[in-house]
Amino acid sequence: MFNFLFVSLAFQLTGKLSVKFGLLALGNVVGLFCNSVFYSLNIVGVDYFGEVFRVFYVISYPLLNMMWIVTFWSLSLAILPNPQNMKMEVES
Amino acid sequence: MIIYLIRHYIFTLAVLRRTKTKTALDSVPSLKLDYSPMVTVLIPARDEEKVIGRLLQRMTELTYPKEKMHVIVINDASSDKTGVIAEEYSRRYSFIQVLHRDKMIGGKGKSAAMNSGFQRSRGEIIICFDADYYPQKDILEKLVREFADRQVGAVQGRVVVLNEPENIVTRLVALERIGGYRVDQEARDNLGLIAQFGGTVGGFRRDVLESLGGWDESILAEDTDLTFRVYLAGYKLRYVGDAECYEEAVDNLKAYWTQRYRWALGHMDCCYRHSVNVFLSKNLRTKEKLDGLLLLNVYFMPLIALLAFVVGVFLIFFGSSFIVGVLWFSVPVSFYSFVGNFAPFFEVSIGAHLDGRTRTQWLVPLLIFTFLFNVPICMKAFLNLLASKILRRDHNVWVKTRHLGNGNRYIGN
Repeated sequence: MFNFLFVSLAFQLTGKLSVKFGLLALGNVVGLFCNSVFYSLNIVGVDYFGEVFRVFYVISYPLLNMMWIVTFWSLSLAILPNPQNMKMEVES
Repeated sequence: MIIYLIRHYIFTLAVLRRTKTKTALDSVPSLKLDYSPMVTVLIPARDEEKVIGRLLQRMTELTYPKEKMHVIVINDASSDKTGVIAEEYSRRYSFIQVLHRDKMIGGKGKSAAMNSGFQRSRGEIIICFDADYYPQKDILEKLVREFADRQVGAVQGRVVVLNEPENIVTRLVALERIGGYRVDQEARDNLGLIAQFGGTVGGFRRDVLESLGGWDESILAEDTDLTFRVYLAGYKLRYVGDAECYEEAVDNLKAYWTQRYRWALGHMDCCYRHSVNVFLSKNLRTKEKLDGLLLLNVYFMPLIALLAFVVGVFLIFFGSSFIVGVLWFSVPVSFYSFVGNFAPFFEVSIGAHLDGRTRTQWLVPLLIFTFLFNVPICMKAFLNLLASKILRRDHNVWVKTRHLGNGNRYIGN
């Protein structure tokens, strides 16, 4: 899902293709790292707290993934050059 | 939920494509530029002494010909100096008129105030501004020119938060506005779908408003209600993205809750009233019907996501079976569609990027808290609406948003 959205949306923005591919690759690395941490947490949690922790993990899994995907996505857009430099000026 | 995901994705794509293909041919046709009819500006105001002077001063600075402008301030049972300040401007400028509603007839909500102002209007086009707003100098030209097309019954401009740097709440509200106007509204207008009148920074053709009977005083979301009545009557609503107006956003969670609760309750009521009409309308194309129904049901989405989670918890304990497996799959899909697929987040961040708001991108992840905050808001609104329909009691108590004039310091910076 992250790859699909990043390629279809972020790739349309201004900026070097190499930077976009770099961000895409980095995003996948971050995602793999985060998910391995989550999975490890699940194994330890289930071992320590029992099956109840599995329920908690399954419910919160989308939220956990959202945290890294949205953060990485928004920071990637911050890195890509803006189409215009909009100033927050209110004309007087 | 998946349909909403696809919808937001299409909106974001549409805006990106439009941004890339914009050329000099997008300049305004001369037919539109020559169109400058008589305009009445309605400004409902109740206890707005901190901000009304700022807006009225701005009215005197607008570039629209003053002989074609008529401003009516509806002083709606104010208990502060709103009426006094408005009268001062009325004495100095002949095109500004003040309508006072006392406590006997006033204070019954924005719709009632707008209707009383409308009765005294004389413009061919009616434009509305809330008292805490601060428009561009040429905003009337930009909004009014769209009415050169006889099919256009209403217009909506873009709302930008004036007091964004105030605190984290105003910054997050500003982000929501960016997503809602820079991407959502613009995409819906570009794709010929249902662009929405937001209650302010917009207007109507006078005869259209007369034929619709003005604002419905029995509903809280009078803007959504008018939007659909315009479309059902066979007219179009145009979103004008370059017609910007600055608003003083809510700056604390309590005010945020009150405002969003009113929106959710009113919007859900509109869904109850208009869904069938939209579905059966002969004046709407299929894509407009589909988008209209999705727009009407948008405040139910947090409830569906919550339901999906509750169902998911119970499914854990039901063992494994094919049906449970299928139902269980719906839990993460639902949540992803609401939050996990971050359709609103993608819209917001793309909108911020197109606006050149680099530093604002850092706040996008915090929007999860406002989305989660909206879950109990929508839940309460739904339960209250349900109770009012079953018990046949009035749920439309207008609780106005207080404006403290904190946006004044950001003008002229």
